[in-house]
Amino acid sequence: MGIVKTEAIILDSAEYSETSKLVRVFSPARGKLSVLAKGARRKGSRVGAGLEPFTHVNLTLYLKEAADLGTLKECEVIESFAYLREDLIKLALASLYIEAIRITLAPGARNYSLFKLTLAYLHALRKCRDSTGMTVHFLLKLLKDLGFQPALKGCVRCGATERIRYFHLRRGGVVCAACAGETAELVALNPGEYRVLKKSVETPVKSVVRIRLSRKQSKALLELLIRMLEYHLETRLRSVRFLDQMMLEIP
Amino acid sequence: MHSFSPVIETLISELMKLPTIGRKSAERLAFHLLKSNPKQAEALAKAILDVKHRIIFCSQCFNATETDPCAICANPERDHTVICVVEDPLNVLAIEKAGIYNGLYHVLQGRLSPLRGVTPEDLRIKELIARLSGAQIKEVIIATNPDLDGDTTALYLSKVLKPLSVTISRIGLGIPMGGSLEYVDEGTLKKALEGRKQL
Ligand SMILES: [Zn+2]
Ligand SMILES: [Zn+2]
Repeated sequence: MGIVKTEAIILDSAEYSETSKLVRVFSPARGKLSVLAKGARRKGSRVGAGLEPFTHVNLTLYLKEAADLGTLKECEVIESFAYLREDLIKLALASLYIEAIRITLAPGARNYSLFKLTLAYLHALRKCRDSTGMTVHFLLKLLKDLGFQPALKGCVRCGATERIRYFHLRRGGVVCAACAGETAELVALNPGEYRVLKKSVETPVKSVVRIRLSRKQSKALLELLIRMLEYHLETRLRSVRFLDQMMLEIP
Repeated sequence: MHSFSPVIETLISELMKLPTIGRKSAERLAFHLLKSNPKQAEALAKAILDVKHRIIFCSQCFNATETDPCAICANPERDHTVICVVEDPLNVLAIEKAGIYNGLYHVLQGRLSPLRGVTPEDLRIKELIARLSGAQIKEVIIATNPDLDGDTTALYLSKVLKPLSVTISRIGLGIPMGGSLEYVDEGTLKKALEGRKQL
């Protein structure tokens, strides 16, 4: 395959040796790629700064045929999203989103729409006041892109549209009070939260940023979405620990 | 597939648990040890055990030491009104080697990392706050690495230390983004310390 140029978002970055870094990136054309950056930890390295998580970059790689490990030749920063270094809550939320992508994305799986969505989120998060609400909207879009769009039209058991009171994690949709039964897979959902959820899902990305949530709704829905993600990804998200702590400490 | 004897395999897999050591490097090290004379291997094994048995963490600054308090904390010649906060003992070593700083240290024993799930509880931050509330500390210099996790740690520290009546500053000048204190030369480190910015 040889030399390849690709846009990318850095998902994580780790020390590989005394002088090099191993980063995982999201390339719209190639899915998740591992990239070895030789000399990135060396003094005066021109690529080091571009390899920090969340950075939107143009990469030039040497890629072997059918391999998902490339060697970095050049890295040009398009946007570093430096605001994430000044706001611990926004950083924690963006980490949650990026971690979910890192876990779900397969090597070789091209996904232009998810790439666009991720960039839109990182830009929207900079300007917004209710960063939790904003993250709720974009995590819903992320779930849809992953094929886990929640079923919100009516109770997933009986079809009722009245008295919707819970979200059923395994069934991936809402259930009414009559059908709830007793299971650990139910998450309580009040009418206001249900309405916001429905509206957010029906609204395209471009306009979703205008849907306002109360603080209580933002928090409750974020919690629900984290449970949905963890349920579908079948793993605990590491960034949730940090997020919970920051939410507690920073009112 | 050809595989090595279980004894060699065990050594390789133990070596691979070390940072930055992959399978290839581990194999190379294992076969180097196999060829080396027994004395050399014994010396290495003993050095590893000594570190685990004799080295403790200073109860004041959490630096690696054989005595508690460590030689730096116990030295009356040093400036006991300034604390330089670093991620790990290697950073203390780098700054000490440069011979540009005469205050005390506080070793966090890690750095905050949302993506890796490292929270303030995992670091020696409570202990730092306790040190500042009691003693005669006037200034805290934050010397975490200039990368995302290092910046996150510095931002969090500046928030929790603000209510205390100390000057808080952060080194930075000249150390490249994504770089690491360990690999910066002494001149750059000196400039970074002198050019620290108040937070
Ligand atoms: Zn029903
Ligand atoms: Zn000490």
